[in-house]
Amino acid sequence: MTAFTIDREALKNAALSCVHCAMCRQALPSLTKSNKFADTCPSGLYFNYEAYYAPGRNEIARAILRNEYPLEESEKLKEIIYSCTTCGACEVNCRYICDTNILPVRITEKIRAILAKMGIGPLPNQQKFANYVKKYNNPYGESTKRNSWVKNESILDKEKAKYFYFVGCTTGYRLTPVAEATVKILDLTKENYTVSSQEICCGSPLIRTGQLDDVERLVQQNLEVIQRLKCKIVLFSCAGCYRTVTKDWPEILGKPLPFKTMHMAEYLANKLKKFKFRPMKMKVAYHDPCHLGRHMFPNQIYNEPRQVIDRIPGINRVVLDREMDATLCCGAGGGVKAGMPDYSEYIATLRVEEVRAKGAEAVITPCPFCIRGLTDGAKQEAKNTGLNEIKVMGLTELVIKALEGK
Amino acid sequence: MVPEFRSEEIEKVLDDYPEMDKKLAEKIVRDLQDVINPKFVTRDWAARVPYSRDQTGGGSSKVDEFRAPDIVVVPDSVYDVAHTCQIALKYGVPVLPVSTGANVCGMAVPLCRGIMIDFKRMNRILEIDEDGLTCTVEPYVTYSRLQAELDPRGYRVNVPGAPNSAAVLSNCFFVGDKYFSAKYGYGPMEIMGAEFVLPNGKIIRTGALAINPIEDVPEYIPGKHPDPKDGPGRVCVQAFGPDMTGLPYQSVGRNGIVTKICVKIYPLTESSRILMYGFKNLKNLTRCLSEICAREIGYGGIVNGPMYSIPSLTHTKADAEKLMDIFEHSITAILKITKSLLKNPILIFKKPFREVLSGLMGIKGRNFSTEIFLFGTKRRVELDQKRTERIMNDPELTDEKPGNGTGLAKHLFWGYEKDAKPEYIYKIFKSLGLKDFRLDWLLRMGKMWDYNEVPTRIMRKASGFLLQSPRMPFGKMHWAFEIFLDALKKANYPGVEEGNWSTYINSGSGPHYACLEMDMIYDPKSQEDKDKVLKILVDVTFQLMQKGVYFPHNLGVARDFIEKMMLPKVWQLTKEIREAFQATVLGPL
Repeated sequence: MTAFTIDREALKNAALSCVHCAMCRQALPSLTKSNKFADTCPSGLYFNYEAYYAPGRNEIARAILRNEYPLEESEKLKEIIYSCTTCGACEVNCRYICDTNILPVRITEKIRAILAKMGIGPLPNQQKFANYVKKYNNPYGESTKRNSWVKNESILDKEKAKYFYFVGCTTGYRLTPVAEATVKILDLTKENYTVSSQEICCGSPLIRTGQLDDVERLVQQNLEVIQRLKCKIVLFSCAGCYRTVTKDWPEILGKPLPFKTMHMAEYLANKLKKFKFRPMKMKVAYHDPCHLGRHMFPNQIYNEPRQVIDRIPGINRVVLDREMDATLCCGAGGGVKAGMPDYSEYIATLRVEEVRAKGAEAVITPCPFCIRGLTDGAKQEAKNTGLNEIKVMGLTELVIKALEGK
Repeated sequence: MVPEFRSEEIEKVLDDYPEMDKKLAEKIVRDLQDVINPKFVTRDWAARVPYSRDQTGGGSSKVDEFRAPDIVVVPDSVYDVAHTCQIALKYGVPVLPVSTGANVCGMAVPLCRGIMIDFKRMNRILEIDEDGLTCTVEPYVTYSRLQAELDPRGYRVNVPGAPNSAAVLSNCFFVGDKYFSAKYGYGPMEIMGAEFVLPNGKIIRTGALAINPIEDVPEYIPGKHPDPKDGPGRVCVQAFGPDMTGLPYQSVGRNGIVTKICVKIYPLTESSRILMYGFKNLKNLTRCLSEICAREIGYGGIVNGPMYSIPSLTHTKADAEKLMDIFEHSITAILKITKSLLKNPILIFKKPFREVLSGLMGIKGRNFSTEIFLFGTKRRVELDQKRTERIMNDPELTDEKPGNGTGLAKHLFWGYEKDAKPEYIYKIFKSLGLKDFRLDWLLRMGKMWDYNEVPTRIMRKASGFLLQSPRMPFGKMHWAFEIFLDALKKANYPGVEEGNWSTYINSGSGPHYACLEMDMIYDPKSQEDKDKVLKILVDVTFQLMQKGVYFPHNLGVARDFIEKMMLPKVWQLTKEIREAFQATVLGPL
């Protein structure tokens, strides 16, 4: 377990390297289209204290690592550390300034791990999903068979398929239309693929909230399943799983992955010539999931999903004020949706308002977690404004609609 | 006599401010919460610790000391600030405001602890007055946010030397140096009026904000920024009699806490161009620049030196060495560039490639470079370029022929010319073997004069210290440069060899003054390291102040100490003013 060994001295040095330049609080000027949508840090803009921005958390990390104050004397500590959606907006700006060892999200995740070890974190609902993962191998506490939504059983646990479709817990248990649309697309392109009934949680919710005890088991078990089926490429419709497998698993394993990883957005962009889309009259916006964009630096997936949307005739994709590296998080990341639902919904509502301001009727995103967050935000925004609810749709769902002409 | 930077007096002052008694702190919090939303007053340590450090460390001369305030207040209005000041006065505790926190030298680090006023909720752009060419903002409005609001309307603010994350209000009140300072003056000269709270809680409105003060401030809603109102045509700067606007200048909140500022805005110009020249001899360069300033050509300019420090400060050592190799040796440069051309011969037919190449060759082997900003109508820019070229090649002013790097500048500062192609610089640098040079950095550089990030990048490389003079005579530029280098050498500062130090001189049209900035990179791991760096700072500051060049930026405690020694009359006057306003302890001395 090389990745999760916490080197306190290195962590302290990283925290002390932050020079409080404050560039991490707002979108970079070159990316800022207007003053109205300049904020990028969800927790900072919501809670207002310096402590909720990356430089503040870095100083708190320093104070924790230097034992400057008794941890139990702070009532706000847990809220401050766990209100970060780990969206990486601060990190992007940090990297623009200089290549850095700071990586505020990384520091926050490590501090979460330290607090969890000391019994101070995580938040109660986050603890609940860790217990569920331990017991049921998914954070939702679902005891039903994995991927039971699959109708064509011949695709289940097939050996030597080219693609292993890693469905993920949120898609598999809460957003099955996204999974069904993905499978339909793979069928239409006559791909040799498989879905596993043995797949378990990728570890993302645990890593993001610092609950690392069970992570190695999850990684090893999933790896065995993928290797047993001898697949060359693991395909994801979930941005969170894609990020965790591509970036975290090699660190945990201490070696490169024995397979390639690919997100459906990339797959769709590669296969665009094979699709015959029917016209759809719709004004849409595209929301960049943090796990597909900023977290994947330097290989962010920004253009591929846009290429797919733009290829559909009749679709008018509007450009939001905060896009790509400057995108505003949907508010659901980093365990925040489970831990602080009100705050999570507020941020999602802000994002939906931005979509509304551009006149879009739907927002498309290739991440099931963003879909859940933005759906809640859309409901709240519709309630606030009395207008029709903005539709929130997965990228694969949109593609299937365009292919089927619905 | 150079003062000791770690005097007993300073140590004693710091010792006098231990953490506040818990019961007293609780009592003050309750009193503050009588008026201010209780959610935004706290004495929780996790909310206090983030204010204990800034860009240059903890503000103290002790390497490991990080002082947190005792209480944090996040006000929503001038009345919240006034109430905080009244409560602070009642209990005799220090108050310190912080806007964006992008500070240096411990200006916003609470060395005396007390109450920290964090302005994050006072983030509104209140008014844009296109008639009077002013805008009015609250303390947490940054240059980038204001410029994002002004740009579509065809206006800009005066560009700071600070990064775009700096607050407009505090940058102006702390005499922020501007890239067009030589033309328009430094920070305070941008201020048309202000609203501030005296240490006794009294609200003062001055200049353009004295008439029609903005009292109807929109409600604060997280993440939402209301549209600014149209201004009533604000033009008033001063009435007869003394102008109180100057009271909070440079006091970092000690003489008054500013809650609104009305600053000048400028129309965007039709055309712009940045010229670049390289010189071997600094005296030749300053003579030419003085002439350019005397003839009021352009809007301002910068002198960078030594040349090798620029890549050293912003890139890795290996990359900087490669660049310097190219800059210094013609044969190596030609060979490397020819090699890259062999890989992609079509490049030679591209105009931007040829321009970048000629620019690089122009500044090759030079020790100092200068950039001169030309703005205005197309005709004026072209005329000014010709006049500049004539001066730069005038044998009466310079005994060397300067290298012309304008082709490089055109594509480096791409934001200022429509047909600029920064990707060609990237292509050339990449083909020369630079590993850490990124296109996104280059793309940021193009907007440097609007949204400068270079000082931040310098600081970020390994932390750093910065000295800045808002004004100094042209004739002293060369001399100040030598004092700085001598102090660095005397202290055996290792960064001299590595190029981890630099000076930037802002100059340009207008014959009155230039602004000098001195940077050095350091990362003190031990008290011994920190003492060494502080010694350099105090030495340089003291020597320059004795010659009449004033450096406001220095380590918080040491700065007060040096000023007290060098400017006793000013300090006595400040003391009297503070006493007149019943000021509580607002600073270390």
